[in-house]
Amino acid sequence: MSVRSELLKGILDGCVLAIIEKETVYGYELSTKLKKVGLDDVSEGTIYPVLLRLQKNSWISGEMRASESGPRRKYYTLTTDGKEALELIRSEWEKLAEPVITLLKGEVDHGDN
Amino acid sequence: MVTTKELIKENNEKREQLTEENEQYYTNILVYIRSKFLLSERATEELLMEMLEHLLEGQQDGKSAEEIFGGDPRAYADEVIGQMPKEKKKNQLLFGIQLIFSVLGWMVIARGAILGVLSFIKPADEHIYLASTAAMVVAVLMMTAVGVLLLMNMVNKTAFEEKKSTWKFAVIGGISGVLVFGLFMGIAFFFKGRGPAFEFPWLASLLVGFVLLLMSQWIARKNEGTS
Repeated sequence: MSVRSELLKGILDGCVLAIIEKETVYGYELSTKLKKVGLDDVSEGTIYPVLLRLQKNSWISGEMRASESGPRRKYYTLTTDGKEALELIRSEWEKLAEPVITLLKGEVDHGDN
Repeated sequence: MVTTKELIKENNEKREQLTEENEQYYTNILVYIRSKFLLSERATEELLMEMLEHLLEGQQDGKSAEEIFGGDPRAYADEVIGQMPKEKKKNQLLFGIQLIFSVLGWMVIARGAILGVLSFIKPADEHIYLASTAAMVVAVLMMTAVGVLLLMNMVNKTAFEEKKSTWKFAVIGGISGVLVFGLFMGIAFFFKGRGPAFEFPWLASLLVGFVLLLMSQWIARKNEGTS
């Protein structure tokens, strides 16, 4: 597994929730949107285990219906629990991201001077 | 809302739009996931339909199943299965009862039909011997359960084999057929005429069998509604 997908693993749930928060989507649409924002090396199939897990947590709910053009699609919406979970992920990510960025840029003096 | 049965039917129709290579890849996954029969049937069929629609849409954009779901279909399927909801206990129980009714129904019908034909040739013994019958019923139900589990297991194990070894299925099927037949003959012979008896004419047998099958159907429909 590449470093990138290893790193992404923990935060992919949050990314998927953030997309679904904006609008109701179905699987293929979701994978296209992930690609569009730049997460283009996530294999498309990866989203289905994620979607199943999020449904199990009752963070999203899926409804199967036929679209006007024919295909049968399952549309996902965020639940109230999902909204809360997303908020938590957002704030935790912020708390993490800043120190990590600073650290990895090497701008920290290690307090030994 | 679309029923699970309709989803299965639609899946069969839509699979034909896949290219040969994609169809092979997808069908292997489908067989593998469906053979895990403790999973919620509804969730299974919804997921399979989602994957199929995804594949069809990807196919139009020139993508292959391998590009979409990865180079290791078994690992991918296992990952998906790990997140799938299990079938509710109540539905599992109803499914078991439905199966028992159906097996019993066919047994009683077969008995009625055989005795019916026999009685035209010579007077047949139309009594039910409780102990003999109980032994036979237990044996048949157990064989059915073991048979279904073994078959599911084999399908599950061979789902991703390049060349499906049909001869292996045939040989194992043949051997188990002989064993099962032998077992039933043995029971029929050694448990002949045991226990209290009552008369159960062949026509009544056919009728009761038919009612059992109807009940099995009724349970199946009830089950479909709640899963």
